[in-house]
Amino acid sequence: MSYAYLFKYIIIGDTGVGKSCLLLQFTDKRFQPVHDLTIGVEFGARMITIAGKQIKLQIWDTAGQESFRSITRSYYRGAAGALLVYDITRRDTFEHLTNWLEDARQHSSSNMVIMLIGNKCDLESRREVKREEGEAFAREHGMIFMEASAKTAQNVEEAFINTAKEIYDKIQEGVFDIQNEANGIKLGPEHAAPGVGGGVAGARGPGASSQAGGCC
Amino acid sequence: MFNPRWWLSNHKSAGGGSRTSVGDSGKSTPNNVKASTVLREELAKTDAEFSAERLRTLYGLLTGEPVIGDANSPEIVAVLRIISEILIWGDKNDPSVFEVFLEKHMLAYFVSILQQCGAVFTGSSSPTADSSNNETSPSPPPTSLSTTEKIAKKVSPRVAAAAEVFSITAARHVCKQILQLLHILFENISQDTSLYFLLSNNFINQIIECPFDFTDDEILAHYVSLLKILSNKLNAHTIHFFCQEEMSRKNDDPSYTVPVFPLFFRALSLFRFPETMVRIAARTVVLNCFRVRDLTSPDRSYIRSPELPRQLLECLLSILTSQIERMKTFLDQSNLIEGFRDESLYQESSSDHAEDMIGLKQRAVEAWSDQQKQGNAFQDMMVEHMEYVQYLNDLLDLRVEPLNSRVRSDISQSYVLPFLILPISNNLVALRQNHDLAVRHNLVIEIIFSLVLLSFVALNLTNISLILTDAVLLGRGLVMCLSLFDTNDKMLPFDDRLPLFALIFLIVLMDLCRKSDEKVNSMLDMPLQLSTVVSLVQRIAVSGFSICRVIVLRLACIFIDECTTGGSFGSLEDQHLAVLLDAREQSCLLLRRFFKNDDAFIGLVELEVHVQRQFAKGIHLEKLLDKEIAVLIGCCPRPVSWKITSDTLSAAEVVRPVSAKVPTAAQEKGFPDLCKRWPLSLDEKCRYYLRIFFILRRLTNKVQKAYSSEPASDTGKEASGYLKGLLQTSSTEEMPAPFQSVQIGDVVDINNCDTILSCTVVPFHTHLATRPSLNATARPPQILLCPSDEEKWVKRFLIVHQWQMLFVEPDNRKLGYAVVKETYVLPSVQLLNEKEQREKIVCCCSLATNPSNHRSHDVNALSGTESKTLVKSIFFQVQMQLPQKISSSISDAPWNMDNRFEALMRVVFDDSIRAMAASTRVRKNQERIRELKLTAINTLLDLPAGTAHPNYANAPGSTNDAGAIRMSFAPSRSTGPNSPAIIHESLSIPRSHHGGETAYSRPKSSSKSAGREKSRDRARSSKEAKTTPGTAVIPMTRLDVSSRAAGFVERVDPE
Repeated sequence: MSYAYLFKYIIIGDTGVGKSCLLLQFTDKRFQPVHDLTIGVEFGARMITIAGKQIKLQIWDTAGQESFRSITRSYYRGAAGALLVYDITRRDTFEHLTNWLEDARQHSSSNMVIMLIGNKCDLESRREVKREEGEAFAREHGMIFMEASAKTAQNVEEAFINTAKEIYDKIQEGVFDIQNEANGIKLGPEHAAPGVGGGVAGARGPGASSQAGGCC
Repeated sequence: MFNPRWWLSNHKSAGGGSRTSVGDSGKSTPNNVKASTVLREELAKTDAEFSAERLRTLYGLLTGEPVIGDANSPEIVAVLRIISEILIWGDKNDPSVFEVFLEKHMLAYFVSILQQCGAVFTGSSSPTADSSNNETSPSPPPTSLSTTEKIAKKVSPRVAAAAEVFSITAARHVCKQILQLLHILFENISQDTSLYFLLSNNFINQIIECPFDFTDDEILAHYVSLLKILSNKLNAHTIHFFCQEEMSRKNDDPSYTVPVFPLFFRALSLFRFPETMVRIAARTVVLNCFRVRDLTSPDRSYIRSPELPRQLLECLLSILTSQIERMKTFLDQSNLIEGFRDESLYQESSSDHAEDMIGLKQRAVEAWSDQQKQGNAFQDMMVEHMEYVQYLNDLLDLRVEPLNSRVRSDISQSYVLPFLILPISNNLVALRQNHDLAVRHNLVIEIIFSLVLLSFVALNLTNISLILTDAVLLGRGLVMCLSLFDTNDKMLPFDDRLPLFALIFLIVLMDLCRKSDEKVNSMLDMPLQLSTVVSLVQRIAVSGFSICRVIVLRLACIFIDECTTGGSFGSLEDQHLAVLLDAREQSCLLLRRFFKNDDAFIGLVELEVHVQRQFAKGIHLEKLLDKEIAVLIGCCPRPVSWKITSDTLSAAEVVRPVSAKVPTAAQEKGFPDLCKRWPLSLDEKCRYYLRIFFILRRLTNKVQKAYSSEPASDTGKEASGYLKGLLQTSSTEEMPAPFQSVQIGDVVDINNCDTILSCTVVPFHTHLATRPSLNATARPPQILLCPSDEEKWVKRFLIVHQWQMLFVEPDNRKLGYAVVKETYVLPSVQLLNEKEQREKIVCCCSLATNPSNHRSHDVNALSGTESKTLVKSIFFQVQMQLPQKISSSISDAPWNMDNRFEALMRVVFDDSIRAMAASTRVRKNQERIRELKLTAINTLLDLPAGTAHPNYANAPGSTNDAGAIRMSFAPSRSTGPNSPAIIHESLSIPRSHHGGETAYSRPKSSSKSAGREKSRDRARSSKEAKTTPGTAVIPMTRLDVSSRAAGFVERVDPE
């Protein structure tokens, strides 16, 4: 419950690339994708640990609001990190990346960390976008790149955590203005008094988020 | 299937807490323990299939729990989780699952759990609550109060029992899980009928109205996500479930009715919530509510009551107003609007002693950083404000009544008029009448703020008619802003921000009108505005271009251009054209003072040509305002003190620091580019005037063309291709491609080539190291040079061909032909003289701590063997701009034009005569190229012949024969340096730019040539060697056609 920082993420990309599955896979692994059950959610939160600090990630899926310009724009601005997702089995989703990126760059703060995710890498046989292409695109636009699979959970953890690491590093460098909540970063209650943070977390009752157990 | 792993971790983390609470309450409720054991056993059945039966069992166990409390909450959470999975599974696979769900009234049960949790949240703030809970839940919003009472009545026995054992943390946990269950349920249910069942019986409104603990950010987030999902499900069929037909009457006025619509009201109450994401979600919900159209008339919203739009607009306008107040206070308190005026900095930079460019630069960046911080804060506020303006725009775009008319009237009456239009016109009037300096200063600030806001609103409120109707009132005011009071008025310094934002507003307005076919002409009196803008240009020119930043002039030119093209907004009269030509002449005159017969000047011209290429792509106003408002406001003009004096002029002629090295990119990040601030160094002043000149030149050329409907041949018959390059870049056309006539991998005919010099190429790589010195005090780290290992040395033949230096290897398939292995463009090659060589190599030798590194290379400054090598070798340095850097941005922070990529190499010949021949040839050709460029620039600036160079008489055409190049390619020679294709090579900067572009587009092109492969390999290997030979990226597609046709160049066929 108690955290040093709270990072807000958004997930962007074409519909059907598995954004909300990635989200659920990361935040709530108890929902195992069995029975070919794809459960979509719009929001998820999870606690992770970076450099000994508890960091809470809040991830918002922005699907379904594309028709409202003001809403998408606000989402971009309110996030500290973005996962830009495409589907390696669908070439068109890769080709739309430029548009997504342009939007993101224009509307977000310049410090937003964007990570490129090639999803569904378990479907190797139906692959349409080469790994190298994803890498090249990411390099060209200064993003981190990873191929992941929401189904097998491969690299899902890493995707979210690496993004968080980069944000954390930027905070340490003083790039982010953490007092300004518009950046998508919030200081946790723990931050005010770092000494008591652990104690508070331990003293919590049965409601202490079970999700806290799932850190890397 | 249930995964035991997660169950375990869940159990473990929650278990600790659970035990302690069992300790507290276990005695009083021993039944709980027993019951949860049953649950736990059921949960442990990991192999259980999903089925309706299992759902029934689980639900039975769930309801079998006597009360929900701390003791069993972890189990309940786990059961709820499985239930949601089974439900989703059932939705897709087994309809009977949902039947069980309905049969058992599970939703009702979930609602009752939520209400129990809610009772815990609301109860905890009362004094009898568990003292261990420090957190206080917020008092529930008024809308839900009545419901809470209702619930309390209904479930009171349960609540009473629960309160004893149900701690707030446990309640939160259960509450979160129920919310997630509902979230998943509504998000994933695919059957319409199932959805209707879920929504019926008013359960959904009970859920919405439950009191929740919003201090817990996860509950809050799940709750708003649920609201958002529900609002996405709204349509003409489902809205009845949310919005009750019954109308509650207020104020005893029968006509004044408000529908019961909890979803809407709860969302509205969250509009001012401190969490951004929550606010955004709330705004989405409201949009979705209004989006539902009435089935009977398509332009009406289902929400017919005018009360809802009224409340919404009231809320939005109060937010907008408070934001504006906040921004105004901020501006008053910060010194942002005072501008970045470090007088001493400017004074110093324009003085003769501006040698310490590094120090100056550092100070400039530091001084700016504070200003920038404030600017960013202001920008954040403004962008946030714009989110709401855009939101209004989105509401309008729904095009539903009665919302639409309400938004329209409210925007106009309560926002645009009082905050945008009236302040400008009122303050302008006040400014005329008032003569107190301080008051006038404040008035100007007010006007600037309103103008900024107006520009932003015009960009974001795409619904043009809204602004236009009000902007009529502004017509004259804009003229005043543009004309900036009378010049005679010495009281107030000329503030270029007024015309700047007025111009932005006008340009945005024109764009919008063009898109929507509105007639802006009559409303804003465009011909009047046009002539005002023209006279603004005139005034800027008369002042010597020192009262406005370049951006103002650029915007003015864009405005004139857009106004006149198509003639829809007005046309340019003769006198206007004369004014523009005068201004251009004026800028040319000023520029000529900076003219200098040296490479540095050529470099500046080429850099500006590149910048113009970027300008030709047009200006992105939205980006400009969004990202650089701080610069536009903060980097404000200063009084005319920096006007060119004779001092600075003489300085320009005496010292122009060619390359002040240093600054890191990070430091410079955010430093405004030259368009938006004043020039600091003499170099920059030169570029400043170049920029102005090019901008005016492009405009006048274009206007003249349109005017006389025949190409303006103001450049006469100077046939220099270099100039043609300049000309083309200053028009909107893209520059033609070929920059290098011969490329890596090409095969050249060397039969008739008279000078081919055999040589060994020794690439050097650089080291960043501290140079050791006798008095070993702190010396700054230096870049030192080391020859690379011997295996990297290569035997080559050197040909100096026209504009290029080619290193070739004999073609083993064809006698008399050679394959080009490396090429360098001569203008970017710098031969180092003996002294420079010695300096660099001494560095390297004293660095050589590891002798094996240099074992084979006979550089030893102390022993003298080196001098032998020196004599028979040439040593050169290749400089080029990094392609990606240049192409990605036109950022031209003060010193970054030196941000170059260097390659160094030594070429060792067989004897000193050959070395001398090579260096002579390179120098000679370089000189020729330089002359050609200077001639072109001369013509550009209308300078009299001979100013450029004593040998100016050597016309470009005739120098060709004088050149030492005698290769057998007659056609190519006949076109000579006049052909644009070759002449473009000299534009080292655009070339690199193109290099960047091609590098990007390359993967797309399907044809692969061997040459390309080679150049790629080269790039790779050079990376490994840590040397940086220059032309790793050469656009192979851009082969000079003429030399190819001449048979000189032959493409290697892929094997």
